[in-house]
Amino acid sequence: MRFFPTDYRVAAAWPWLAGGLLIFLLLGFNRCNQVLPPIPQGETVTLTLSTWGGAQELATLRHQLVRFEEEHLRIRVHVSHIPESYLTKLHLLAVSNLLPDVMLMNSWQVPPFASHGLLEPIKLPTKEARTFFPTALKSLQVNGQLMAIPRDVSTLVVLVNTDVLRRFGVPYPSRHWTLEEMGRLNQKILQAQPKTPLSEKVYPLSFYREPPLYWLPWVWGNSGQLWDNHGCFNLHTPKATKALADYMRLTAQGHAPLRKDSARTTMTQLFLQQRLAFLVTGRWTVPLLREQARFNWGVWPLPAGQAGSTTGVDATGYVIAKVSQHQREARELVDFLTSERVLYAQATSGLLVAARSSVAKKTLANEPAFYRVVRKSIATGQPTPSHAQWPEVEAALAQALEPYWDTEATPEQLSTALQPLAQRFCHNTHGGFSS
Amino acid sequence: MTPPQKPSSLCSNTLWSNTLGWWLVAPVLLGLILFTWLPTVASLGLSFTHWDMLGAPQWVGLHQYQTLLMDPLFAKVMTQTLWFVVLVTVFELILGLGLALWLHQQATRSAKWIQWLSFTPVVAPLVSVALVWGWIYDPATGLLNQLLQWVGALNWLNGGQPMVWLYDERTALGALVALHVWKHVGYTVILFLAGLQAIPDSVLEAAKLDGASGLKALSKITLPLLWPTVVFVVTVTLINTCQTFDSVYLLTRGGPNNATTLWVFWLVKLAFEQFNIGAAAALGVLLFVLLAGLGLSQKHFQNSN
Repeated sequence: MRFFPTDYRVAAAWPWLAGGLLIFLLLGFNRCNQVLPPIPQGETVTLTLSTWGGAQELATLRHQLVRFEEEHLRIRVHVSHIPESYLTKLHLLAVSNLLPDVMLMNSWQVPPFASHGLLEPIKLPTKEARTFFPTALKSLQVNGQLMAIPRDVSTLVVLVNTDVLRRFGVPYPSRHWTLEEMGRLNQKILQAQPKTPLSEKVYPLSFYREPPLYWLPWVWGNSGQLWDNHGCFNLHTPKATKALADYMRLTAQGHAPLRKDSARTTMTQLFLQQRLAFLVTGRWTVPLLREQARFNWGVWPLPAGQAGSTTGVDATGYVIAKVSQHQREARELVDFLTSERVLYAQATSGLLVAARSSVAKKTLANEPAFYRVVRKSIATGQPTPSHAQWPEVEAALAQALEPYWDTEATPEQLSTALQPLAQRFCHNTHGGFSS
Repeated sequence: MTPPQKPSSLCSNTLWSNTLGWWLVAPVLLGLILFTWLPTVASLGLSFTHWDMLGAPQWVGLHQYQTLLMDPLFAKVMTQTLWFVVLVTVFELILGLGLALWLHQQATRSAKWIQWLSFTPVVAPLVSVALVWGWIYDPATGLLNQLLQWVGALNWLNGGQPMVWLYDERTALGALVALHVWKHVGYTVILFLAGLQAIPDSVLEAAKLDGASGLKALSKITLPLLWPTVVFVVTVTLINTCQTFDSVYLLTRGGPNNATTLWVFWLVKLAFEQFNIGAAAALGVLLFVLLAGLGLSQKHFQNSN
């Protein structure tokens, strides 16, 4: 009995194998380009909604979706929860032509997808648009077209450990403080603990090297810009590099922890350990602090530079995929998810500030100080800059600046290091800047 | 007289019986084609394009290779990967061989325990290993700094200040090398023990009778006979170490200042953080060529012996 041919007749077997493989591949590729016919009226439609977020946020969302399905009997919503590597997974879904019908995206995630025509532009009635923070809408526009309806806005504020300031006899910052004033307060905090061992030292200020969102306010506050009016990379210019060098010097001068000193400890952890006086952060930290902070703390706006206090305003919103076969239903879902009542329910969790100004005011009613700071930051802030090639821009920035962190780099050194980016991200771009 | 046996129905069809072997290996072959060979060919094709996974790939010829080779990070990553691979291989070879030789001579129960203990890290999941080592290297509460302080070595090393093993450019790569050697040396020990057990006792006894013992027997008999195992261990270690990703991702994310950015980590970063698939594919092709070269040289070494 010859189960295994001793001569391995390739000629006999190969056509079968090749034929099988070809059919398999054709079926697979055919799936990629499959265009499904529109669902006839009256049949149930299932929408896929992708989102990130923690358990609490997800529970609120699911609860709202149950209400949506009750109100829209034809529509079912399948939630695709992607808590990690959200953007990577969306890219992989895009490659497979399987983008969810509705996706939660923030202002720097939108342009790469929009510039490839993967998102459906959204028209919002003027009356409706007026209920949103204008900066939120602006930060979700690409080439003047709105690509998402905003859900929430985030902006940076400074959380101040007032107990630490009292302990060191340092006065509270003024409500309109400047970078100079912050520098003076930092110095006082350092002078109050001259012989404290490193492991117990209280650092004046938190420090972040990535993402740029954290240090761009320093650049904007000193009249620098990441992009010029023609959409060319502009961070290598004197004003921007001077501001960046000033920011970088904060660690070398001891105003903020060096990377090797903070090691694996995050800035929020340092703040909770009372080893940080000023924490630059966003709304998302507040619930954690309420739960864990055993000290008094307050909220201040980012200190102003020569050009005023200018923080970035980052918006998150719901986009509709162009490949969605259920555009109308998807829009109904987006309208529902960004409606006042749903935003109110989500914003009461305390994790986010609703993109509708009326809702933000209502949900932050118990925190007038926080609301004042956020409202002012949103009013004076500018939309987070993005770009069709944002992931590449961000990586190139990180690579160019990496050798200079924790050093006293000069503006000229930074300008030289950033020069190649100016050549790379200008005429070479595909367009699609945030307006 | 026995009646002639009727051929089994399975073999009655000549085509079926002739191709049955192929049908049996077809699932594996299909998997290989779909998940190894096709992606390899696709990578080669993609390395000549610019593709961000959202639009259609754009043909750019050799541009990705040119950009990579001119990128200062490429030289840095190459050098670091080379250092990492050489150090891990050398330490694993020396420690693995030393431990295997010692264990081979011992017949005690404690030796068995040591053999078992040396293999334990191999089966431990790297994620948990990295977490434990992250704590060992922690500057403030880490075991290593506590030990060094206890023996008074911290004064000599860093003027009494805690060492920041994973966040200092001078020590971060070394810290990863130590983790890798600890994690994989048990596997090397097992390979060497198998090689040692394959050496006939009669050869060693004959050498003993001729007056060769100790170091002489080791250098003239044991090591030459163990040479194929050494070549195999070196090649496997080189190839595996070249592909290191997880420990870098879990412990240092390539930092500080890219001091621990190794080849595959950079590749993954290019592909799935920067969405520069063309550059990542070009890097992958270069690594493939390097590893294929290593594989071929191992074959050459083994054939020559």
